[in-house]
Amino acid sequence: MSLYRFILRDLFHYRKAFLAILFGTILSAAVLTGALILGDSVKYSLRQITELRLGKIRFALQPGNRYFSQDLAYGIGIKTGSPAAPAMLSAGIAVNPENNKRINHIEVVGIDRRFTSFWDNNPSCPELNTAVISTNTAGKLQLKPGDDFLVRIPKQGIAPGNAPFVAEKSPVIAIRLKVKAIADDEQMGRFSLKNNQTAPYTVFISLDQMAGVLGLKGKANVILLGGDECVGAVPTDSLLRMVWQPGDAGLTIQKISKDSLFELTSERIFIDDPTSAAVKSTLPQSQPFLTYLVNSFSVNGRSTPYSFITAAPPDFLGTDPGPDGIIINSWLASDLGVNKGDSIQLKYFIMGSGRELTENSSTFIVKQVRPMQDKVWDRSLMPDFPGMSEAGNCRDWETGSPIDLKKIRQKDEDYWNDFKGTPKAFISLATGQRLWKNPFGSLTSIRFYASAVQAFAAGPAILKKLSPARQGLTFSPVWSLGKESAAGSTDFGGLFLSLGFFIIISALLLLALLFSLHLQTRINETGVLSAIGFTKWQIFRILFTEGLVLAVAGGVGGALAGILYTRLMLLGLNTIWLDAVGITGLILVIKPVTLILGASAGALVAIPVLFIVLYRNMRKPAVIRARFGYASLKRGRFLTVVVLLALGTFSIIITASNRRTFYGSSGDAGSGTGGFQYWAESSIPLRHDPSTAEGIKEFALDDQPELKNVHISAIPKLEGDDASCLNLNRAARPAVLGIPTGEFNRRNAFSFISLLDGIDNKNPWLVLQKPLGPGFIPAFCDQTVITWGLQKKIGDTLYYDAGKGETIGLKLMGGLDNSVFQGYVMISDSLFRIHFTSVSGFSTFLIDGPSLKGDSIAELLENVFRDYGLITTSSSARLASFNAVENTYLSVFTLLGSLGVLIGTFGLGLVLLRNIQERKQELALYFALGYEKNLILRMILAEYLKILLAGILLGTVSAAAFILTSLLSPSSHFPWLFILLFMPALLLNGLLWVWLPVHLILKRKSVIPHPPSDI
Amino acid sequence: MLAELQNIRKHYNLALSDRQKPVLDGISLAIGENESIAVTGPSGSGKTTLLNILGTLDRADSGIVRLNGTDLSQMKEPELAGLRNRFIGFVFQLHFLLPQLSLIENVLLPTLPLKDKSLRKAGYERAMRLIGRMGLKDLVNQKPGELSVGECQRAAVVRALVNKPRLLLADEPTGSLDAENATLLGKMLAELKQEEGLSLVVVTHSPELAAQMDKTYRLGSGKLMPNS
Repeated sequence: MSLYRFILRDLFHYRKAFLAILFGTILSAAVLTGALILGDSVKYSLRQITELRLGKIRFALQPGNRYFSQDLAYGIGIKTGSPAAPAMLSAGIAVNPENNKRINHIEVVGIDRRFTSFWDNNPSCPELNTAVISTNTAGKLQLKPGDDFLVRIPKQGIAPGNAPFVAEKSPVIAIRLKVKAIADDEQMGRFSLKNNQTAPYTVFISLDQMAGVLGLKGKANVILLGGDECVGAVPTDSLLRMVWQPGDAGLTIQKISKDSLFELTSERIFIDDPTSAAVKSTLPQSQPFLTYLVNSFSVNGRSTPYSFITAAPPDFLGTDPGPDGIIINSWLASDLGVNKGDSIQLKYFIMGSGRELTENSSTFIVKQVRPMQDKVWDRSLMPDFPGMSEAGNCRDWETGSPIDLKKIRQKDEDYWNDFKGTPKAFISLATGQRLWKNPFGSLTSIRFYASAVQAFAAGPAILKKLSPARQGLTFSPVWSLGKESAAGSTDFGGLFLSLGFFIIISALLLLALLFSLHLQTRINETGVLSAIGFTKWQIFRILFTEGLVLAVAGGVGGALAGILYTRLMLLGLNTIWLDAVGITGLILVIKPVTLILGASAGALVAIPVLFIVLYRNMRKPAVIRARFGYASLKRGRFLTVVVLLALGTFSIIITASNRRTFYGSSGDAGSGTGGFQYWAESSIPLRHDPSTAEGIKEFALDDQPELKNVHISAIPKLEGDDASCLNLNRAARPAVLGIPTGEFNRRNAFSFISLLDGIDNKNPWLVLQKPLGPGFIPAFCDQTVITWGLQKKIGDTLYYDAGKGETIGLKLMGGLDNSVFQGYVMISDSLFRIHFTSVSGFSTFLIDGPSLKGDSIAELLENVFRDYGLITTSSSARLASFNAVENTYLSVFTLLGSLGVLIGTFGLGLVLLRNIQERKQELALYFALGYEKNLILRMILAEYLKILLAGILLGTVSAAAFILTSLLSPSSHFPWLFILLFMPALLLNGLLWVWLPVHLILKRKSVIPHPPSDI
Repeated sequence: MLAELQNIRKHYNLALSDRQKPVLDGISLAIGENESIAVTGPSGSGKTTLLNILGTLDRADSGIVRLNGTDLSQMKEPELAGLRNRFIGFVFQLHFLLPQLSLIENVLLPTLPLKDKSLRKAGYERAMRLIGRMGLKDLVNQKPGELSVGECQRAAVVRALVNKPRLLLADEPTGSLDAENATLLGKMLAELKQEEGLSLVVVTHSPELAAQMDKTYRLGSGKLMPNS
């Protein structure tokens, strides 16, 4: 006989006991494996969502608020050999007029056949006046093919919305569409360029129609580049250089006179500095101009309103007016009654970051008065301001700045009729640029003399000196970023491992108890082995090998049981715990490697437990034991059970009471609401800050007396990934908000968990106001977002494309306590406007005021800003939605913890069973003395109940002491119902496991006293 | 002397008390080659403890244990285990045959720790001879549960002798047997002592068994006294 044969005999002989021990190992391995499978499943599901989101799209060119020719996609497609599709993306609002159902945040995507080819399942392509809508949009609006509905999209011009004098009469355009088809998830219905597992509401319309209604025919703002599974390199800047045309950079070169004079202008009105430099370098003889609209020229009470003035180079004017000189035309000189040497005051608006206007003035000395016949008075110097150039008369101007129509005289109308926007004055270029340079550029046109051939060649020559990336034309590897985000998503494996921690601990304690009990049944066997000459090590090796077999078998069994456990967890996550993931349809993925890993982990956690138990048992003297030493073993066992029950009860109550609520504190400035009652977001950005005079006028807020004392803090937003706990993907580039830091500081709004050293913690918001150095600005974020969403820490830097090919670093200076800003990165509004010039308007709002009562204000605001798709949420509700995620995890923990406690009580039952077997002699004595069975049952039950109650009471009292303060708080929302259900269940379960062993033993017909052992 | 105890003291801590109970109080005993000794005494007098100390299963609080002239106090546990395996054989009141093993496997259990294959082979041959000697030849493949108590106890004796020990320690070997089997086992032990050249220490309540030994001692109040 060999040792292995001996071990096999043991395993077979003690199979029943080993099966019970296996239960503990299987349970812990199942929870471990289940957590790993769950992690795989969530990651796989997110990867699947990425594939559904993007189809065969691998790269996306999405340059913020810039537009380019749709033909650029064609050129890129040819150069890369990959399918390329132009598209137009816009936020919007969808309304079903039949039932008034409305979605305030939809994605409107202008597409053509090239886009639908990215999906395999032959999705339908929208045509004129038809739309293909996603399944969720159809569901929410209750639309079916053939139904009509309305889509509202912001009227976007090529010129940046926040550039001076850019205005649109109606910021929103409504399009009536017929549903052509409903696209499911496999048919582009989930298309989105954002890394988020939540499906957006999407409406696909014809690209030509969308471009047409926006007045951007032939333009697109997105290029999507496809490819096969093997993702190639990101299309480079040099590739884009090969195919882009002046129009893609927004540049137009046109002949403006018969004498070969050409003019370069930008569709964005202002020519940015890199382009200006490139033109200057290509065409050194060119003449730059900056034309601006001034509110008035005034002299001694006489005033000429709303006129254009041009800052021009000396070679154009034939003279240099100097820094304070001005050359005026004879019409203006006549109107103001001025002559050479007189002073003229200019008043003009400077547009601030939120389109707020400041009227500045400057005084100039008239250097020359030139007749209207002078060729310098050229009407083409006026840029193509949308809303002005095409106006029939001055009263029809839409300037984006207030025009006092009363000031416009007939002679002004006559000037417009005769000379259109011909400037009335010139100043030096340097002075003009000093006064009117803005983030979008410091020129409005550049002129040069050239032959037609030279002019034709000028465009490509200029483009060669420009970087497409600096124009915002950069491809992003959306596919690989999506996959990376899914891979770096919330670690559900780790999360559920922590949530199931108590079960694992309980299972391991149970394993320890069962193995220890088993070893005690074999105490004489080890004694015999010792007596016949087996060393302790040899006996240890035999028993430990048996334990190893159990651990491995338990690991394997647990890995398989883990599949069932995961199914149950997924069922929970797809139903009652939906808040934790935000999506249904999580897919179960079972990888062999995960099962092997789970089985190994299950075995590896069991092995130390078995080792310790065995080691402790083997430390006792190697004698054939009968009685000595048992008392202490019993105490150890009972203590284990009491501690297990107490810990379990304590954990469950603490966890249940730890659910986050914000009742009663939402008005505090230091709370997560910042003291703001409402959080609002608009689908279409508001062009004006509603708290400014311009905003009040624009939105007619004066007509709403209920809003008189309502304060609205408007916050600009750079779109990006949602980094809140509602997004399972790792946020690569979170959305950025421009925060009114001065106001927040005055209010002492919000609380901080962490701040970098050296920050004044009494005025933390002020740190955001000063840039940290070239290319770096300070930022705050919710600590939760920093730690989990971004997986970073304070002091780390997030890098953003600032839109001109520049990268800006946002250094995380501090972490806020849970706030309504979860998911966003916050910088100061002033630095936001400087660095993120592509963002115009405001789409995020914090609202409060002394008169806010109920939800009527919210409803009123939503009504006032209906066309912008404003959704108002109470700040507490917003916080609660974040807390719902955490609370759901707590629910899972509570449930799994409860299971752990129930396992603990099962362990109690086993200990009692063992103990009562050891007390058979005592029971026999009771019988011999004439006690009835029921009396004995009651006596023993009473004794064991003490252990059960001791554990539960110890846990309950400790937990109650721990949460006493919050229990007494009037805002307490202690989950009494859960506790009222849990505690009796715990007690009843414990009673069952106490009663069962006593009942089983006493049910036996004969209880024979065991002969006492000798010593 | 084959084995010798000098001034052995041993006490136990009383359960649920700080007090100690002395069990052996300065006991000395010498066991010669091929000598048989019986130790009698009331229950709880420390007979088993004495046997366990002599058999190296337990250690004395003080005193010297010598086997074959060697003081065991400095020996480590593996050395003591080797001593038990090769030098000492144990027979208990209950046979303690392992229920999962057959009779022959139980008997061969002491050969498992042997590293020398030839010794193991010799052990097997010896086992088969002794099994025949004890009248168990037809039962070699039976499990303990299928044997009578007497058969089990005889198998336990074979197990104790399989590695050819020089000292056999028997703790109430007939305590669980009926009179007939007890007499048979006592007789067999006496015969085996002669055949195998064993020294034998038997702890027993049985005067009949004690009477078959060369010397008889009585243990009481922690003291070992020769029986007159």
